[in-house]
Amino acid sequence: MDKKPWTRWALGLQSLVLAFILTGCWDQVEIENRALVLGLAIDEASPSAAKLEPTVTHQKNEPLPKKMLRVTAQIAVPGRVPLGPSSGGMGSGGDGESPVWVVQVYGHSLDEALNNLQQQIADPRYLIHLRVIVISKGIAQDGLDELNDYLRRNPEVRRRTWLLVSDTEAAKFMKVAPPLERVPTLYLQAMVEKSIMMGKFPPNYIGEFWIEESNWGQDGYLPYVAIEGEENILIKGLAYFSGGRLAGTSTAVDIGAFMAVKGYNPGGFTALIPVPDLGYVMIKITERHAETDMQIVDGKPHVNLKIHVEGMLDEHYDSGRTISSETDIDAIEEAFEHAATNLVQKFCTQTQRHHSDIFGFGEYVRAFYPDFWKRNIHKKSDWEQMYADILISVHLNISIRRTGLKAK
Amino acid sequence: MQKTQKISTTQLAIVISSTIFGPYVLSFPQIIAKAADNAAPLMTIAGTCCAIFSMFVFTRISQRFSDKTLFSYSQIVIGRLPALVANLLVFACFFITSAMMFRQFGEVLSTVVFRRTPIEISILMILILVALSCRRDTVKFTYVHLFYWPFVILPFLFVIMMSMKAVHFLNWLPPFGNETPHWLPALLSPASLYLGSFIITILLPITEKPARAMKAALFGIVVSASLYLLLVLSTIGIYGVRETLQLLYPTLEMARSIAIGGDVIERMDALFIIMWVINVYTTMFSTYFLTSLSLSHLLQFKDHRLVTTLLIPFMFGVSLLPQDQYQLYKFSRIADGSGYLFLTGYALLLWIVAVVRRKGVRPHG
Amino acid sequence: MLDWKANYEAFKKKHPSQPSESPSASEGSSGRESKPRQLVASLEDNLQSFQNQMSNVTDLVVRRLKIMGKRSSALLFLTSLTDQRLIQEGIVAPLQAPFVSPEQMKDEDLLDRVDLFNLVCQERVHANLGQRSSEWSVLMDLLMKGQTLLLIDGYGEGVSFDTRKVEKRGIEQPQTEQVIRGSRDGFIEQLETNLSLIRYRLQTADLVIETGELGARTKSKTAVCYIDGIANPELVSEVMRRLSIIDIDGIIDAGYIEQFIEDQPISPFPQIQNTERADKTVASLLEGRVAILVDGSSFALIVPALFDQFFQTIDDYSERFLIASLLRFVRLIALLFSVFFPSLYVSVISYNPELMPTDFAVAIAGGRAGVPFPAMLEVLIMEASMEILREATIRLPQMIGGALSIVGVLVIGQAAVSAGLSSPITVVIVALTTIGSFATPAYNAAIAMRMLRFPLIIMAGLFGLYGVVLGSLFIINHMLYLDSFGVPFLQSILAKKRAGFMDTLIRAPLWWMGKRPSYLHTLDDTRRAEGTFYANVDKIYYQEDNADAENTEN
Repeated sequence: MDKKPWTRWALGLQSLVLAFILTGCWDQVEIENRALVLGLAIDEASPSAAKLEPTVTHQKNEPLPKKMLRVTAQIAVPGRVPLGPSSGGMGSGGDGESPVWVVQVYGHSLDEALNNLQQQIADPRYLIHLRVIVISKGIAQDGLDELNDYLRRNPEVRRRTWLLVSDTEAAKFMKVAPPLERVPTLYLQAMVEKSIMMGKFPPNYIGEFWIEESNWGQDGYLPYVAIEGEENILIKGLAYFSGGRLAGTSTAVDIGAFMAVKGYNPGGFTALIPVPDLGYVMIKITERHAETDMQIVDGKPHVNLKIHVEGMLDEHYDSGRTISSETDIDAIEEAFEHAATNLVQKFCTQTQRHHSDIFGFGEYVRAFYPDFWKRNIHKKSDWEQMYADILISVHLNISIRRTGLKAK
Repeated sequence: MQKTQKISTTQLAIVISSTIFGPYVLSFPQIIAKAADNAAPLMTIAGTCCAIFSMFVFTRISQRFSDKTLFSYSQIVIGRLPALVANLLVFACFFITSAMMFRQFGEVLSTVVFRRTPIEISILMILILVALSCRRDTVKFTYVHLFYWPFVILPFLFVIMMSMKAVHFLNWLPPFGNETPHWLPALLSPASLYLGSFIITILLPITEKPARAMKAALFGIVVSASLYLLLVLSTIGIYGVRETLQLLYPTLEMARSIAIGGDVIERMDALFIIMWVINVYTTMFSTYFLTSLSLSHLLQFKDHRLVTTLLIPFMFGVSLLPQDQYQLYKFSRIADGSGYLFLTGYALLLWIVAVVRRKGVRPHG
Repeated sequence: MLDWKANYEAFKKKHPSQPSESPSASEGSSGRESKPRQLVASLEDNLQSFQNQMSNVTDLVVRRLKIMGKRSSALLFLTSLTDQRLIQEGIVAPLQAPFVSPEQMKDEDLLDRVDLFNLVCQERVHANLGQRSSEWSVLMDLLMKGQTLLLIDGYGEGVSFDTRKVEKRGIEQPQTEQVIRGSRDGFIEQLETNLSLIRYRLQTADLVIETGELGARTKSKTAVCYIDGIANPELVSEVMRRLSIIDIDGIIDAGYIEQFIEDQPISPFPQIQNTERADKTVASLLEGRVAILVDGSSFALIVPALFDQFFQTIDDYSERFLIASLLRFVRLIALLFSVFFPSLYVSVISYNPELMPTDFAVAIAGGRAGVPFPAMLEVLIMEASMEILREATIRLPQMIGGALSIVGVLVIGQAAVSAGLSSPITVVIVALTTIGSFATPAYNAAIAMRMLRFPLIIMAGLFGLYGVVLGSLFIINHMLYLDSFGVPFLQSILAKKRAGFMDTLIRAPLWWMGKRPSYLHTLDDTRRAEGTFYANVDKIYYQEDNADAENTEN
């Protein structure tokens, strides 16, 4: 027992008073009072769009960069998405109302545009559920420095957000509403994430992209998407960067080549190849294993890629012969190896031409030849220059293990 | 009925490890990566070795006077007045470092969780909680550590394990770094993480078998050190040095990156911060306890309870002194580094003088 | 009152090991008893005084009779507390009976020569002998306890016979602690019955039952049970010390005693266990704890009580250990649910919606869209109404209680949702919380936990997850700082050797738990024969007969 009970009482009273004075629920915002931004689309706007912009964060005539952004935000509308499993005929927005609200604003930077956005909507906007950011090709070509800086600083943004490069106007992505998901943006996200699960795309979230961009011996890449028809979204290929700017795009099959080089699993691509005497064959890749061997030959890095893939026969047509023996399989394997090696080689050359080392070969040099690295590389662009000249040799082989239920 | 209870060797080890596994876990990988580049894991080990040396000195000198705390036996060894000055410095050291820790804690909360709550509130709340819990004796003090120890260790292990699959082993290479490390900060910053191990000097009198305290101390340090090392390894392994340098709290980013349950539950950072609060609490509890004990010894109070209450406003005031984040980090790094050097030097001096003047008993074993 | 002091001092004399501080409290209380008056020799005078003093005791009966037809005497008893038949057949009839042998009959002086009381007690009366005394206060106390006083003319003394008979209910299954597998008898109000239930299970001479009285006016009989040779004498003497300093007019229930002897009065957590079960009491005694029983209360108090004890039931030990461990785990989960769920919900809704999956978050926002209150207020209102419902169902007559509780839960929940007062998720959360809190076996611990979630909800509403964690740190620290009779409240989890785990989070097989809890510092800490553990471990790997063979070799 305390000798002086009054000190205890005084302390208790004091803390009680403090509690009442100090509590203010500063950060309390109920979930339904938050404007949850689910997706953002960023397009470049003509400098004349500056006139359309409300002056929220700066004076009218301050000297600011000419560059203008048009940001389209998809905001969730509480109440439109029913709680619990939707019953019967009620699909997404069954009564014709969209569960999201699409708002468009202009600004000099992403943060400014979002501030302008806040000026237009009542509820405080939150990026905590921002899942997808689509940027147009033009934005990507101008460089993502400003964008990355804001997204990195803001603790609301997830490291697992998707950053997508679109080949058309990015804002369109905010408007498509495929019928598979209740919330349109989530369809976009599910699309990319499910293709990861199926082995059709590497798990390259914005966080990974940042890491690649930070590493001196590596360049970043992003999913390259397009809209087909009215409401279909297509992963078109890789958008690869060099020096923080979009350097080029690839085709979808190049994603397979890229994933083979990196040894991503599970394998998901299916290749259609003509095999001499056997007609056309579809090979489905199930597993990929890759080994990157880095050597310095004559003061120049030399990459030896050993890729091994496992596959299975998916389809075979347009020939009188059936596939029924080991030699047939060998022939298919050989044809595939030839075609695939070609593909990988071509893709590597393409990235070399664009000074974009998305494979991260530079990291191998940095890790295994620190002396060489220290001598030659003093900044990121040094490696990008050197990457164009390195030798890349590809050895690819495939094992086809099974051919499906059909016996012949 | 009330007997003075003693703590066992394992309990001592747990207190030490939970004390030194402190709030710096969030930013440490960035600090060490800045100082040592790719050699960060190695420098962490080197720094730990320094800390183990200091721990060795703390334990040895305390074992010579196994029934007294540092504040009592320092007077025997080097005389009243010098001991008073030195203990004043010990007090100052822990006072400043814990005030800085409170501020850093507040900064993290204000940056990540409470973006609109005044930082004063966040600091004051934990400060009051810590001060209130310090009003008990040393045995209860160890109970607190014992109870929270799993909560301090497990969340970090969980995050590390969950993110292990994202590690690229290339990022660990080359082990000696692409750049030459800055030796002094690279050694001092990991070593000063273990500042809290000084707690052994007040815990030894209530230990059952003081002779085996060395083992406990070592064990405690090794547990926490391996966690620090794992953290450095995994952050560097996942992000690479370049990216780590860009992250203010790499460990937090690690928690932000993971997703569990088929990618359904993400954003573990909010939960992680909460578990980190417990981690911060145990460490601050130790330093605050040390601070108030040293002050009450300086003022020759019998009871340290009054002091814990009196310290609150001062601690609060000092924690608000740094003007901005950069100043804060600079300041606390200086405070930690010099604190570490001073404490080690002081204990070393005590030890040497005690050996030369044949004070205390020689520990056997 | 005096009794406990005497007991305590006697006990201290028996166990002189501990430092004997001089008990200063022994004096002073005697002043309360005003001058011990003595009986006088005249029966009429005595009866007159009795009737004067007890004029308002309406059930006092004074029955005059002549012993063996010669000496006038009187029986005094209270009709409400006594066995009338025993008095008639066992006392009155033999007393009135004439002398058996003729020579006695002739001997006129016999009644004057011998001590009549001895004669009566030894040869005549069938009832059990009580006490013989000449002091007013003693006799009055005996009378008030239901004994029958015999006063004989010419003697300044009285003798009492034990004729107490109190109405009592039968032994029933304890209502508060239901078990699936375990005995069905619980304590009742009568101390004697309760002690017999304990003795019946613990037939050893080592079981010590110290009795004494508590309460200046109720003079409730209190018993302290422990097993000599197991219970730590220091613990026993501490219990007696604390009992001896109780000074109150009446003890109505064991709960009164609990409040006087607990370590920390301002704490939501019970620091003394109470039980209605005799088997649980015996199990605790065997562990080295001390049980306190009081007349008039069907609950035994068990000290020291640690936090984990409130989550154990007696059938944990009779069931298979794997299942019992699992059940304990379930109880732990239920406990965590009931304490943290609402506050976590509030902080996720109001502060950290990013923790939810996006589509779920959007849907929840939809569910809450019409609710006018912030989440904290909404949950508080719902939780409070749930508590009201719970409290009301206890008081309701049993006939309608069951029906109303179901109606209450269903209708109020559904109505609140459709009226837009709360979101469906809140109802789910509140229901889970309430159900979870009933999984804790001990009512008092469960209610402490249930009430603690309110401050946590408020903390969550003010500071989100940070508030929840600070609040829980505060609560846990409080628990860490609690003591129960000198044993830290959470000692079993903090035990130096991790042996504490064997009977806390899990329930190890009985052959594994060879030691009594170390924190009780028992005199004899082994429970089972040497080698039981290894014999049983061997059984896992070898067939029974093989294991036996090996053991005989050893």
